This record gives sequence, structure tokens and C-alpha cells, in this order.
Amino acid sequence: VTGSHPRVLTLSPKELLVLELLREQDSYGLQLVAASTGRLKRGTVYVTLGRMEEKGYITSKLEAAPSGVGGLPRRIYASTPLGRRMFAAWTSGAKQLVPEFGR
Amino acid sequence: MKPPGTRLRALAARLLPASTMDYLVDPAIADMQAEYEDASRGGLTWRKLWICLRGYVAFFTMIVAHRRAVNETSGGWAPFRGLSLDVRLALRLLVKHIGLTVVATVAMAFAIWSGIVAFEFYTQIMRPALPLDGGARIVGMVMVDTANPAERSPTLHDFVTWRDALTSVQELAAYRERNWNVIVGDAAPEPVAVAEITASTFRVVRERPVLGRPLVDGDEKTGAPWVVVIGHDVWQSRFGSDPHVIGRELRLGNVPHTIVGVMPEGFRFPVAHGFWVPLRLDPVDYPRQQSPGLRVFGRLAPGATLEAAQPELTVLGATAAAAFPDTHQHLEPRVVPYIESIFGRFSADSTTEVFMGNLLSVLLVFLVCGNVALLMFARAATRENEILVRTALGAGRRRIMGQLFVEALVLAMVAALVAVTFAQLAWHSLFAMVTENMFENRVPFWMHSSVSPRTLVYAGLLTLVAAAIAGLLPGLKVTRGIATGLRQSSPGGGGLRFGGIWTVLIVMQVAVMAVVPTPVIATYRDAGKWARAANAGLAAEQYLAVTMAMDGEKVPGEADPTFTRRFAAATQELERRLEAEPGVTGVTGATVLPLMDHPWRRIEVHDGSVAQGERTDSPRYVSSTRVALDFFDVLDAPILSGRAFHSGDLQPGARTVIVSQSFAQVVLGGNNPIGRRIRYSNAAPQNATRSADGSWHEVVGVVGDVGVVPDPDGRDLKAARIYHPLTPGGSHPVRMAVHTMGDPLLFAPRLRSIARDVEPTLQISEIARFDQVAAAGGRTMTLLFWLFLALALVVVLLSLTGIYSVLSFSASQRTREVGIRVALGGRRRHVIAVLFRRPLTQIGLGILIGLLGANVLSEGNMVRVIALYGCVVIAVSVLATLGPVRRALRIQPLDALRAE
Repeated sequence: VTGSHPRVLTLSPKELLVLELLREQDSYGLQLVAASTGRLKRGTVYVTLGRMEEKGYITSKLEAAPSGVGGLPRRIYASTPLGRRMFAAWTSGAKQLVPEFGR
Repeated sequence: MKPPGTRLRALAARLLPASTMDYLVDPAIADMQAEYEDASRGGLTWRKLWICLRGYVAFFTMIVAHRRAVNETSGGWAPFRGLSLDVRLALRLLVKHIGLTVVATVAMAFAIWSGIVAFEFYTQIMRPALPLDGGARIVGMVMVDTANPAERSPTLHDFVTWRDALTSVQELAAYRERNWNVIVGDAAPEPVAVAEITASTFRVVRERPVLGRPLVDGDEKTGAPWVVVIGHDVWQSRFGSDPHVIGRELRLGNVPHTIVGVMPEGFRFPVAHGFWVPLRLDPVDYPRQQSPGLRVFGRLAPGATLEAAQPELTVLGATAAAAFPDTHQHLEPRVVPYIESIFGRFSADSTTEVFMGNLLSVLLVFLVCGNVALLMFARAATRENEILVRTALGAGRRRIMGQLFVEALVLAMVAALVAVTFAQLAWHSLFAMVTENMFENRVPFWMHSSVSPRTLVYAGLLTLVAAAIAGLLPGLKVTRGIATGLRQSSPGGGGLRFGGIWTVLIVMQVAVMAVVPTPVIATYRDAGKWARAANAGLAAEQYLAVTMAMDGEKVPGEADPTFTRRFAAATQELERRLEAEPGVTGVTGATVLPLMDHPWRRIEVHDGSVAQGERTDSPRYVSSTRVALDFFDVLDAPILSGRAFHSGDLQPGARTVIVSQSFAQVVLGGNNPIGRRIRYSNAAPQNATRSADGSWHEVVGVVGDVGVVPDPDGRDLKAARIYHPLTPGGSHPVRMAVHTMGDPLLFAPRLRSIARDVEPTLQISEIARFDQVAAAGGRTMTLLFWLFLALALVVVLLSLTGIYSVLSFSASQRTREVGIRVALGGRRRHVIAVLFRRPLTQIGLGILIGLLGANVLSEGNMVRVIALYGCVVIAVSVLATLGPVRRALRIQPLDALRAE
């Protein structure tokens, strides 16, 4: 996202959810929406993904569309080591604060 | 076929920065395309549609989410930074202070509404635009008589000369209006305005018929078949939108015309016409002195302007003046905008009046918003601590004023919304009233009964002005010396005080509140008079009023013995036939019937010896009318003294009149009028009738008042009326009163039918029951009454809220003082006196000024009403003080001291 202000490392609930879903496998935006069972929305997921990529939590690459289909190349997302560390740090911190969280 | 989302991508490229395409737009569209492709393989059409629909919705949500994210990151565009926060705060305050919100919204809505209506009136009447293709280039030509400054119509000869010679105005056209009876099939004849027009008109206006053809040059030739083009309304109402109407016949007067075309909906050129027939006038048939008058217009040639066309026309005018000095010596042709050629140029007085109307409405916005500013200031004062804390946290003066402005803007926008909604509704009523009075229901085609976009923009400007006054004035006051306030402030004793300007405002506001019911009561009385007039002196619901005229060449004001004889014979025969009808108990005629607007005339009473009680103040304007000999019999109006009219009164030189009872009372102070002589003064009689020649008339009888409310005080000159005898055929048109048993309106179709049998060219119009005539007359007054009442309610509402706010404010500002006084043993009575001395003095002063003003305005006629109202205002003011007083006295001394 544009902007010149330096960001502190923060993790919103939606970003946490994206990192959790990307732990399983690399995904397209709509796959994340489908896997989130309604917690991520089509209209906002790409904004969230863009912000997370800027923060360095995830990375993405383009995949060419299947031959014979005239569509745009799809973008597939994967978590970065920083993203995985953030997710681990948050979940361990949460487990310590709220023991029930890890069950 | 393009994959779905291609258009969305193009749209996104215009709405969003290029940098977002790669990470935001393209992934979203690519996913959607993949999903669509999956659905395509399954061949599920509904699913493909669903994917597209969901994709579009998600796309717009994404744009909003992106913008919000950008704003959160950057703080938004500098001028609007924090705007959404201010708007939310303003909305919360609107709900929290719901009383102030309602009062301020109603008041501002009324002020903005007045502005909208005044501006719409201004644009439609003073700055109209022709809704035709290139309408601004259609111009009219008029003749100005330099010897006797007045506009005159050009003649047929002028038109022909100009048409052949002018180059800067192309396609010159002309018309004249005729009033003929239209007869379709067996339907009753109905008088209509027909435009006798040149075929070139249709080229000037650039409009094509929806059916058939327009008039063509060949139709103007002598001997060509009589044809007519009809308007869309006529086609719908008289021919049931028959698609095969072309070729059908209708009669205009006695002449059958074949319909050759139907014009599109809304086309009513030249003014408000629905019938167009060819103008067949040949200059050869007329000597120059008797050349018929025409309205001439045309379209400016490409590149030509009004200024460029004028010199060409001036040369033609000079040539005509040299060649025909007897007719054209003092005539100067002018080329003017089309609408000006029809209605003339508005006089400087009219322009000033309309401008003043607009100025007043803007002043009303200022006044009302000044009052709202007072309320906002009182509210801001209660938030003094909040503002101080915000300042301490770094909010600058501009930021705080911005917040107050946004609060006022949100309020003003709600008010504007209400105002525009009501303006749309009110403009319809006002439009109907104005057009009924100004154009006799023949509304020019360029006027419309909806609020124009231009006026909506004006309403937006007024809203901004309203917000600026209501928001920035308190803002300036609150933020002045805020640093000092920061140092000195303590709860319960803020540094804000009402200054001198606010004091003046409060006094003026209360004064206006005291004055404002006076015009309301006056208009209410007038409106009531109209209603009572319907039953004054006659059983209005038993009479039918009818206006009669006849097709013909007669020009109003010109003597034409043949026409007069024909008209007299037709009306007398109609009267005879009507009286023979069962259910009709009497028929009579007059130039103006009771309950209609009568012409006003200035009079002098002869004899020198002024009897006791007679009015000697001048001028004395009274109403007058000419009536048939049996007028008073048919209307059951009793002759109170002297005699009724008889045939001898119609002899030349008889000059007898009958006066009304009120005339004897108002003008002659109750003295016997029989034998007294009166005459009309030369000073510009309004709607002068025939006998305005300055000769004396002898009063031969006094008749009871008919259709006027007697004035017991003997002051109302409107009730004084003079009746002259009317010779048969002596007035064209003439009004007829038909007295029937049962509802007279049921007799109207029969009357039309008899009139058609008597004389097909006899035009019957304005059929109404007498009480309906009265209702029409009272409508303007009733509308005015409601307007004044709304204004009065807004003013009273604002003032009472203002009084309450001021008193509450005074109490809250002196909490500490009250506590200490009570702690020191101060008596309640003294505490109250100290607390409210100043605001109550302001209110008392305001009431005094207001009541004095009301007394002057009502010319001392409403002393009792004003005194009563004064008591009400004082009582309401006292009631308004009760709440703040109770609150102030409830303060415990310890609380007050703890606040230190």
C-alpha cells in the first residue's frame, strides 16, 4: 500500500487468519476466502494480502493462465519466514496469556 | 469474446493508481476469470451470472476498502483530514441535542425553502430560456413608438418588407392570435386560442410533427384547403390519441379544417397554443393604414447577433419612416429576445421587486442562521471544557472551527434536504397560483412547474452560507482567547459570555417574535372575508357565472356597430332561451359579477357642502361595474332607498348610478346618497371602463351589499361599489349570472348546448358556481396566510428556543456564584433576581419594541389582540425560565465550592 510512514510490525486478526491458512498450502486469493468459511471477504481479501506483502509477511508470484483461456495470469500467495515467525510468536504469546487458546 | 472483468479492469485503471493494478486489481480479476472458466466447463449459465455479479460487487467493495486503507496510512487529503471523524461527531451531537436539531432544522429549512422559491421565480420569470433547439437564437421584432413611448405590433406590411430584406435574421415568421370556438364532431363548442401562423414558423422552431406534416408555404395560398396542425394535448384529449387522426376534420368557428399534423408533446409555440392554422394575409388586400398587426419573429442567421441585426433593422425602419411618414414617422423597429417580444421588457420596478424578493429571502437565511448560531453558541458554551481539552491536546483554532463548521454543515444539509423536498411541492402550488393570475391558466410553454437544476445549485450555495454563519460565528467567539481560557478555566464557571452583538440579536429576535403575528392575523382576516363574502347578500351556491364572447374581427376598444348588434342579439336570444328552461329562475348580465375582482376607480363627490361624517380624505378609490337592468332582481338584492334601474337609464345622457349600502356608509358617512352626484377622477383609473370621461353621475338608488363583507367600522373602501346600467351588447365579453334551482353546475352542459343552437360562434367560458369564484379569489390570500403562519411559527419556535438557551446558559455560567450566594444565606428570590435580571431585561425590551412595532404595523387596529399576545409571550418566557431556575437553585453550596 502506498504511504511513506514507517510501519511497526502489527498483526490484525485477518492477517493472522491468512497466515494460518497459508501454513497448510500456497493459495490464490479466492481459495483463502473459501477456506476461511466466511471470515475473509472477496472485496477486502486482496487489500489485506497487498498490505501483508508490503509488511513482508507473505510473498506472491504470477502463474500463467491455462492455455486456450484468455484470462489474466493468477497470483498465488505463500507465507515468508517473517510471516511464519510472526504467526508462531503470536500463537505462543496467546497460549501463555490464555491457556485455552492452544487446546 | 472478451473474458469477464475486462471492462472492470479498464474502469479500475481510471479509478485507481497504476501501482495498484499489479497487486490488487489483476489478482482479483484473474481469480474471478478462473472461477468463471470453471463454471463455463460445467455449462452452468446461472452460476456464471452469479460469479459476474459477485465479482462486480466485490470489486467496488475493494475500491472502498483500498481508499480507506490509504486514508488510514496517509491521514487522507490534508483539507479533509479528520473529516469523517467530524462528521460522525456532528451526527452524534445532532442525535444527542435532538431539540436543538429539530428547531434549527425547521428554521433553516424554511429559510432555504424561501430562497429556493424566490430564486426559481426569478429564473423562470425574469431569466427564462426557450426549450427549443437553439432557442437562444430565436428573436422577436417589435415597434417602439418614440412619440408615445410604448411598444406596438409590427404590421403585415412591415413583416413582408423585413422578410424580403433582412439578412441577419433568416426564416422570418409571423402570427396573430384568434379566439374561435372549436367543435369536434358532436361535442359542445369550446373557445380556444388559435395561432394563425406562417409556415416558416416550423422551420424557425426546428420541430417536426409526430404525425403528418407541418404547415407548408402552399397552405398560405388563397384558395388552398383549410388545414390545421394540432398539439399533442389536443390530440389526446379530443381525439383519444387516434393514430389515424390525419385527414379528420374539426371546425374552428364556422369553418371546417382538415387535420394535417400533430406536434410533439410539450410543443405549444408561440406561447400556449394547441391549434395552428395558416396565416393567409396578402398586403394587397389592405391599405397601409389598416394593415393588420402581427407578432414577428425569426432565427438569427449563423454568426449573426442581436447587436448586429439591429442596425440592419434600423435602416429599414428609417426607410419606412421616410416613405410613409403618416404611419411610420415615430416608429422604430427593434430586435429583441423572443420572450421579451411577447411579454415586453420587465420594467425597472418589476426587476427591482423580484430582486428585492430574492434579497429578502437571502436576508431571511442570514437572520435565521444568526439565530441558529446563537443556539450553536449556547451549545458550544456547554462544551467549553471539551474544547479546552482538545486545545490542550494540540488542536489548533482552525481545527476546532472546522469541527464546528462541519457540525453546522451537517445540520444545514439535513435542512436543505427538507427544504428542497418541500420546494418541489410548494413550487407546484405557487406555479399554479401565479400562472392562474398572470396568464389566466395559459401557461407559456417555456415555464415549468418543477424546480430547475440551476436552483438546486443555488440551494447548495445557500446551504454553505447557512453553515458558515451558524458554524463559524460561534466558532470565532468560542475560540477567541482560548489560551487564556486554558489557564483560567474551572468547571462550573467558564470564561464565555454573551457580548453586545448577541444581546442586540436576542432583543431583536424577541421583538420580531412579537411583531410577526400581526401580518398573520391580518391575512387571516382577509382570507376569512373572502370566505364570508360568498354568503354575503346572496345565495352563492345557486348561481352560475359564465363568460360570453363571440368570434369576430372585433378588436377590443374599437367601436364596431355591426358586431355589437350581432353580439347583443345573440346574448338576448340566449337569455330568452335560458329563462324559458325549467329550473332556471333568472338570467342577468354584468361586466363583472359579484365576488370577482372589480376595477378600482377614484371618485369625487359633488356638492361642496360635505355632510357630517363624510370622508374627505383623498384619494377615494371604490369599485365599479356595469349591470343589466334586471341585475338586482335576479340576484335578490334589495333596493334600500330610491329606485332600481329602468330602460330610461339607458338613454344617452341619462348618467344615473346606483350605489351599494357600504358606499353610503363608507364614502358618505351614512348620509342619504339619493340625488348626490359623483364622478371619476382622471388619475389613471384601474381597468377603466367606458364612462371615465369626467362627467357627473346622479345616484338614484341604494342597493344592499352583494358579495362583499360589510365593514361595521365604515373604513373598508373595498366594500363601496357603484353600479352603472349596461346596454345589451355594450360589453364584450360579458358575464352572465344564471339563477337555478338545484346545483347550477348540472345546468352547464345544457347551457353550452343552447348557446351552440343560438349562435355557433358564441364562446362560453369560465363556467363556475359563484362560491367557486369566491374560493378562487381567496386562494391567494389563503396561501399567503399559510406562508405567514409558517414564518411566524418558525420565528416563535426559534425565539423560544433562543430564550431558553440564553437563560440556561446564564444559569450554567453562574453556577459557582449561585452556590456561594446560597451558602452565604442569600434568599432564593434575590438569587433568582440576580441570575436572570440581565436576560429578562433583554427579553422585556424585545417584547416592548415588538409590540410597539406590531401596533404601528396594524395601524392601531389590533390593540386587544396585540396586548393578549404580549401576555402570551411574557408567560412563555417565564415558563422558559422555570427549568434553568430550578436547576440553578438545586446546586448545593458544597458542590459549587468543590468546583473551585
